[in-house]
Amino acid sequence: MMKPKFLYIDDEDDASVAAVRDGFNDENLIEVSVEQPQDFKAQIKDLIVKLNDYDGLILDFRLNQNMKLDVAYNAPAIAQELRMSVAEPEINAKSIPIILCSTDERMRATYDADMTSHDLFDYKFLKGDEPDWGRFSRKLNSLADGYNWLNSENRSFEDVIRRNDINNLDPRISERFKDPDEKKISYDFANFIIKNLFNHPGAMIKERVLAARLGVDIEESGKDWLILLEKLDECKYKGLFSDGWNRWWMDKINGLFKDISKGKRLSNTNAEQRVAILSETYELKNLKAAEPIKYCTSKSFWTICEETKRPLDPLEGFKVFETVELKSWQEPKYLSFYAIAEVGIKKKGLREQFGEKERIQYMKENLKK
Amino acid sequence: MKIEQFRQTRASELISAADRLDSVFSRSVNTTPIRLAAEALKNGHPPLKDKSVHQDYWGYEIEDFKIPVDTVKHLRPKSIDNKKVELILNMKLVADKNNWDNLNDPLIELNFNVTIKGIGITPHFFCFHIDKHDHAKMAATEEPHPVYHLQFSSNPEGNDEFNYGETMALDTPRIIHHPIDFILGIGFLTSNFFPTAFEDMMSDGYFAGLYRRYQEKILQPYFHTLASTWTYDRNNIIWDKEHLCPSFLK
Repeated sequence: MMKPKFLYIDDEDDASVAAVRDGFNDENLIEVSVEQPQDFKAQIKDLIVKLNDYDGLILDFRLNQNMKLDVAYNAPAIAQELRMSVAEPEINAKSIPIILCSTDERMRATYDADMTSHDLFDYKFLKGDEPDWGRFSRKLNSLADGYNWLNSENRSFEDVIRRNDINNLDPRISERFKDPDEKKISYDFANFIIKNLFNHPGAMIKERVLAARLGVDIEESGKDWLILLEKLDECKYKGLFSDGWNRWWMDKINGLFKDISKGKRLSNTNAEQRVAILSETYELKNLKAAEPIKYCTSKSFWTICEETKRPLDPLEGFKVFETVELKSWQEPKYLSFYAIAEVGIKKKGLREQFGEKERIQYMKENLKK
Repeated sequence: MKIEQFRQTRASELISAADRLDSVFSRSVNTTPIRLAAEALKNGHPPLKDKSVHQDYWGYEIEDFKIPVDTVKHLRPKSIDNKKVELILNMKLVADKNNWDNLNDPLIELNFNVTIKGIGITPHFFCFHIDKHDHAKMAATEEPHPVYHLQFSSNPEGNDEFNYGETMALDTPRIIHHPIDFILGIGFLTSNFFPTAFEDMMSDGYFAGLYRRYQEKILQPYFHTLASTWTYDRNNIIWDKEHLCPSFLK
């Protein structure tokens, strides 16, 4: 099968650009070629034609730093124009994944502060210290394949998520895709799946949250965790971009647990009870129940601490500040008191909601007593 | 009204209740369990406990709908952090459409299970349920078993290894209670555990109207039937009924 081709535009022409190109090309999942930006009008005209031969576009965030070039715009401007030209019937540009890359400092100084452009990009990665090219390649490969699949014919929401029983999901999730008269472009589906379904717990959950809800300590369980994941394959998300992102359907996990436990609800059991049922059902003797994070006591885990990635009962957590307001069917993310007060938050951009500060202070004072 | 239309109407009322809860509690509740129940209500015939289904029955099941608890007076053990208390509702209701507009019992089956969970040195639970005990179908018991009753307990799943601490558990009295559905139930729960939310819920004219309609359909048959033990002239009623049932909307 042909490898997806990505065009990478960067204003520099140095070792850092070559490192990105070679980083991807060495992984052999996608093929990246590099170009320098042109002036805005020429660039757009060129890309609308050229991108028909590509499966995706990688943009360096800052395109106006090379004084030798006459470029006075940055990545969001070009992404915005390309997204618009896809929706414009007269132009009929190809809908492709647009990926943002930058160094950490640049990204944080401007991109993170300006939320208006966040929805333009399907994925972003940092080209700083030791990038995980394997992981990035899998994501970009998945994005390219997914967009091509979406572009090949009209798809329904059921096709995209590969489920016919969408009445088992919160109806607000599929609401915007229900009107057959409203034309959907590939980007609408892609953006919704990644930004709304993958990036927030709700209808789907990621592996660490899955482990928390099943009460399992991933590291202590060794191979048994991987065997358990195979047993849960029927609950795994198999739809668009599922080869780049591992997610599980929560309604299916709930249903499966009810079946194997003779009617018990996952949410009404603690980690030890969950693991006892799972290890007996699937004969996994080395499956180990997770222990609460320091300063926590509940083993009724339902989420994770976003800093430590350890299981957490939301009642003992502190809500994470989100730059984009959550949809009412999305669940908040949490931090543990241990992460906030003892180890400190190292993950960039991660912090508790302002409204949680009083509770945190109260807990700190209680600890001193 | 055809059963399909009847179910659609009940489902849209559940969605209205969910919308009101979203607005009153902002992001501190997740109304997905109510919306899933409404979806199932629209689309199907709810099975009874014996798995049988009937053309004219309607109903729904709500799993793990959580609301924060604001009323934490006399919370014990003292180690429980009063910010770490939540209420979890699990309920199942099956009813006969043909009894919606008359003075018969509107519900066929009801389980309205409430667990209040607090976290101190360990998690603590306080539970109660409002159930329907169908004397025609269930075995007779020595102790009184009102058809609709409220009963307290502390072990939500009946786990053998449950830690009872210094408390003692045994069957507590089944206290006579009126039937309840989700809409009346949310009034009952918020008025007791989040009174300002109850006031907010009812300050919306549409929701208050809906609540009154459910009082009429579900409570009226129950209280009329009880009151019919005696004959009385409405003009002779003196007692102010306002405080007899504070979550009752006039």
